[in-house]
Amino acid sequence: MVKFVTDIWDTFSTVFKGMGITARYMRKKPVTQQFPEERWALPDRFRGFVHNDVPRCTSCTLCAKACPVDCIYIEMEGKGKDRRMTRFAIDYNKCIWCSLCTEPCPTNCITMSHDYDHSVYLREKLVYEFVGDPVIPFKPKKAAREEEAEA
Amino acid sequence: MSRRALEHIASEIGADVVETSDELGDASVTVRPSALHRTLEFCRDDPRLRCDLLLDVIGVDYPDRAERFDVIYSMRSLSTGERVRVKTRVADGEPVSTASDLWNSANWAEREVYDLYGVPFSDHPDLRRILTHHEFKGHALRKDYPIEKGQMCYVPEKLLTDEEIRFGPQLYGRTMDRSDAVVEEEEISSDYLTVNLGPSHPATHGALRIEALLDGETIIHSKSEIGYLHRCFEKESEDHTWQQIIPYTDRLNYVSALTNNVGYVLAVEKMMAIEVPERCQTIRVLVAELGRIMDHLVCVGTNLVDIGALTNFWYFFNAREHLYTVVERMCGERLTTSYTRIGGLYRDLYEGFEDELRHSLGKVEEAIGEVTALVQRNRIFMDRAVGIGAISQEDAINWGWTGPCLRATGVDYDVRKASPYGGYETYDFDIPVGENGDVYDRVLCRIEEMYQSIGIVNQAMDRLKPGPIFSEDRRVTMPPKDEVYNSIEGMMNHFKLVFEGIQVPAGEGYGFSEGANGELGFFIVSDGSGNPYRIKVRPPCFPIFSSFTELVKGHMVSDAIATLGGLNIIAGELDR
Repeated sequence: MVKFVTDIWDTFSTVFKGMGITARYMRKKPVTQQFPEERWALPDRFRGFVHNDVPRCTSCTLCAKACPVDCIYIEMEGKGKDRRMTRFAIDYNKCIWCSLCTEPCPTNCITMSHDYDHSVYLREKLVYEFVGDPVIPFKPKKAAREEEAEA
Repeated sequence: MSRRALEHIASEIGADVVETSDELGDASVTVRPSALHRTLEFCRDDPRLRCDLLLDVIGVDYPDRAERFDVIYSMRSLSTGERVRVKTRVADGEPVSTASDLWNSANWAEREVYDLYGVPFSDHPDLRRILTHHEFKGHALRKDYPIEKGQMCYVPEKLLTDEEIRFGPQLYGRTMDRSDAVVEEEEISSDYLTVNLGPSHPATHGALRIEALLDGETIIHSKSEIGYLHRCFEKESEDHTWQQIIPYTDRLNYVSALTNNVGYVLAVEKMMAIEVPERCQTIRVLVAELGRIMDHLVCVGTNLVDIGALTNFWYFFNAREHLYTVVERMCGERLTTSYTRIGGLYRDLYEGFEDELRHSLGKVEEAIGEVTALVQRNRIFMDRAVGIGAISQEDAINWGWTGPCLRATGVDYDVRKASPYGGYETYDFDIPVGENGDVYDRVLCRIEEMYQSIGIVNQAMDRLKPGPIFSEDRRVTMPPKDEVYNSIEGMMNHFKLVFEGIQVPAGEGYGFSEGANGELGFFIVSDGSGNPYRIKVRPPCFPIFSSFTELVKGHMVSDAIATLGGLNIIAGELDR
């Protein structure tokens, strides 16, 4: 009998308690954002599309090796002084935005940018080519010497 | 301590013991296949060992050996804390005697070894494929199975056999109430209904499939199928360097990716005997607990949605959003964090982290308080949750349960207290336990665990002191950039770490941590090269889900949904 009465009391009291909490929320502002119109501030470390700053790239292929899904394609031709980088492409179909490629980069030229909404209709368009004409890979020591000479 | 356990086993089993080792503090004994069942039974029943929890059954393939496969039973004693591994070596096609009569958890674990390695288990009650499709040819984790080979499988598996559907009621102890009438055989089955739930049903929270035989609304018998989200984590990791596996661990339990990241690197560091700086250790504890809080918020929230309480879900997801904002600022991603590195962390914490986190934790506490007030004594919730999906302590241990689900039955087994790792011994926290092991206790256990985790996070924040976050060990840590430029050793070291990867010394080890759902283990075999030879994940919800058939027997369909939500099955971790 006691349990019967406490059960009834519990039932009613919890309903009112619950309604009280819900009523409090009615006075609060909505927490949602209307996404395409309103955008949130991206944090500094946001891992968006990978960007390669080709003029500073030494084409050492460390990033391609570090990538767990093999989405970075680097092609080179020639040897020694004639070495040219003919292709640096990132396949964003595969990229998992893990940032493992940015860590070993000796010149910090490959970075995670803040871009994120690049939807396209064709998969081929998600393979980004960074090199058009063959470029001479960056040589850090030579650049340092030139800087010294300028100074 | 493990020495003594090995002596006990050796004295009992005698000449059938091939080899013993106590590498990394775990007792490991190799026995002949004929003595395997006897050894396992001895380990379980001997009062000095009492290995009552069978954690996992692991297969390893050595194609060059005559006895090609290692089958390893990994056990833990809840009373002594001893971890014992019993290993046996078998040739291709040679059967291993099953342990599913000793532990229920061996049932699915052995099916997995059979599926991925093709080791047959004699007397196994239900030896079918589990992670791959039933039409799949070959065994995927054998070393001679090409990693890029795909197969097309079309026909879905029929889970309940015709016999089970027709005679199910009799098989499962129900008699028909029609004994006086002459009934045609076809008519018998028409009284019972098979219902297929999943694989993409909103209430399964992941791709799982359950086929249930119903009498009215009551489940008489059911069978479950998993593997829809099998992504070959273990096969893939054999093709990657140790560092490259970290992003893959995010996708195991994607609700608490941070906890998985920490668990994996702890296991590798244990193999390499690496000490990380104090700051790194503290941050790892902190993020692992954040992962736990977020996991519990999702689990409790979605469990309540399944029961019909949608409001709580929004309150918890709002709180989780506050935590995710902090996590996003910390590591750049919300879900796939990849925050840890072997020997360190991806980045240090950012400026103003502590204030933001304290603010977010305040919001979480507020939300937990509100949800507790809404549901704890609520009649509707109690009627739906009390006594539903209940399991006794003994059964839960026998099924290999760990984590909050096991603690809800009253067993105070928590890896963080039972065998502390990563500095947990220095934190002050309690382990909440339940009483009946039903859905209600599981929800309340998780809610209390969140409060404890918030306590740990606060303690960790108080301890944060400036300092390095990477270990000084050059075997794992890349040298600073100026060293790479200016010295040939630094450059060689840098390139070697990327091209060849981290070299983990040859051997095998089991690294464990308390994941959000229970004991998350990584069994690692290394051959000393840059890639792992074998990584076996011990996902906490795999043994938990294997008991689902037993849990829901005799309950209503809606109770099965409530039970499933309370178990917190994460398909990414279940199927790997």
